[in-house]
Amino acid sequence: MINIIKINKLIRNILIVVVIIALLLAFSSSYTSFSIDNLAFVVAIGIDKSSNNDSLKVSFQIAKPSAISENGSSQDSPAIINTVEANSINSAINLMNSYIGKELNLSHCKLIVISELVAKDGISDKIYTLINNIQIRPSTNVVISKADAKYYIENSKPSLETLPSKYYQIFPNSSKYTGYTVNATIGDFFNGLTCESCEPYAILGGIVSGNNQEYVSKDLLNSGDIKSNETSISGNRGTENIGLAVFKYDKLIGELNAIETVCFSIIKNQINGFLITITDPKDNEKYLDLYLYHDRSTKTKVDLINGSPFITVNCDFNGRIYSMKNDVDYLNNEVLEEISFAASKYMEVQMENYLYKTSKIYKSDIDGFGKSVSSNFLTIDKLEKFNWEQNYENSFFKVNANVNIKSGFLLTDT
Amino acid sequence: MIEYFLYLENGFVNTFIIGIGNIYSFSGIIFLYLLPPLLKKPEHFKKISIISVIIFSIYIFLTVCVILFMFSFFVSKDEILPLYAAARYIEIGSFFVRLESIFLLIWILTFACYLSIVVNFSMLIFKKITNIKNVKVLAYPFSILMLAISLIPKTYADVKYYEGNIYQYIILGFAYVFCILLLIFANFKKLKEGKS
Repeated sequence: MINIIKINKLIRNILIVVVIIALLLAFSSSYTSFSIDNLAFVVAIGIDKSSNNDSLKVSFQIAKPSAISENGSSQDSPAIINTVEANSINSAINLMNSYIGKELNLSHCKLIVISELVAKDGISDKIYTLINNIQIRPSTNVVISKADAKYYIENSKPSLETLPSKYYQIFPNSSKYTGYTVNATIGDFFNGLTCESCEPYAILGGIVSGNNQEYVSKDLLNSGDIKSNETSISGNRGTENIGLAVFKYDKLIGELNAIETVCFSIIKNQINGFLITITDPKDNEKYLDLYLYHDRSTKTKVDLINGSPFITVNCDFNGRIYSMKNDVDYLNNEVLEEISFAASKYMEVQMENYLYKTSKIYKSDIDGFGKSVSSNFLTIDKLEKFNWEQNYENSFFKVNANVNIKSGFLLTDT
Repeated sequence: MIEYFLYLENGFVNTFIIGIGNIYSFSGIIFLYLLPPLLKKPEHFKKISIISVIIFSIYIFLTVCVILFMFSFFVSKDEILPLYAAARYIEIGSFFVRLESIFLLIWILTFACYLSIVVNFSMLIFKKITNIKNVKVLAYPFSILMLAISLIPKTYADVKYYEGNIYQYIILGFAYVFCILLLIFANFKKLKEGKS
């Protein structure tokens, strides 16, 4: 009996030692595993056309851990940019892996910049390749650069953040309160490519041109008509992101300016508030700045009339008056109603211009109205015969914009 | 939401007649045939089976809705694990990101529960067939057998082939034809014995 108890204790002790050894092996770092020291984290990828038209010039902006650590010098650039020419993105990654000495990791890639020249030739194979990569996040932003992608990345030096990855993560947020850019991700782009009822879009990026201008043309002062490469901005950072790149399937076919991008965001319900500048109803020589925000979500409806799509867009806004002048009574209901009426008409005109531009000129349904047309058909065959992609250019639009201006912010009567 | 739907998709015949083969996704109905002897209150079996079918239908409906509404309306590109692909889009602010790992953890736990139930029922059936007293030890060989069979397909294309061309017809033939016929014949036999 005592022997049995001793044997049981022995077995128990052996088991305990075996379990401890197993746990030690499991939680110790293995010589085959990759630690953070073996990886190079790419924060941005740039794709350009090479001088040899058959290949690509791929630029990688790689974060430098030593520059952003506590021991790093504040003078060190937090990222380095390396460029390689290759037949494909994966070949470029492979070549760069052998050059750098660490394995490139795309898990923290926040931005994919594609130059305008490459985008005009079609980028479906690049997008499919990137989406197939398990490291690339669907929330990675896509920018179509009017300059070289490498030049865009080199000049995207953030002035208010230390890390470029932080800047790339933050800048699309301005779409919520200005509407001048959009949060266009590679996931949305892939959806637009595969969807038969919508088209893809991307952020339009460009070079700040205000630095070189001594005299700013009057056209650039109307902030609604501007887009990247055409603004009066001058600053430390050499790049700007204003406007939207419009695609037809995978080819870049056009660009939208600031106010058209605002209209796009309104229809997509991706904007919280935005500023418009309208002619003062009391004085045609003066302008009035109004800040509008959604009262309720924009509603769209697609009907078929004589085989042509008739699209109705209903949007409601509340607004506040930003700019103030001397001797104005904004407590007077008549004054507020006049301004509201002028703002409603302005929004209707801008939105109809935008919609007809995407329909008649670009023939590209980036707003995804095609998804709403399905209920007009019983079967897929009939919907495919209708061919929304071709029929979108025959669309007619009716925009009902209702703007209700309440007052100024702190002043109501001057 | 209604305006996004095509009422008859591929037509009446393809949806309701040829499409009835898609009922194989309700393969869990096989467990309903095996449940009655295991229930503490067999008189509630009808209520249990109706509620379980409704819950299962809701989950399937929600899964299909997530995939259809998140991605393009006509899902023309076949993604591996579409729910995992949908989970990669989840971002709550800037802190709760990359939540697909939690999705995978929950999925693995769910899968482990499902496999446990399958092994349990396999052992019960084996016990009835062979009249073995203690079947608990059979859990290990059954699990290893399932692992070995799951390693037979070499590629994802093979898996899709087996799912579409073999598994579908096994479920339709076994769960919906054979088992129902068995129940009908068993009822006839019971009636006959009752009369005699």
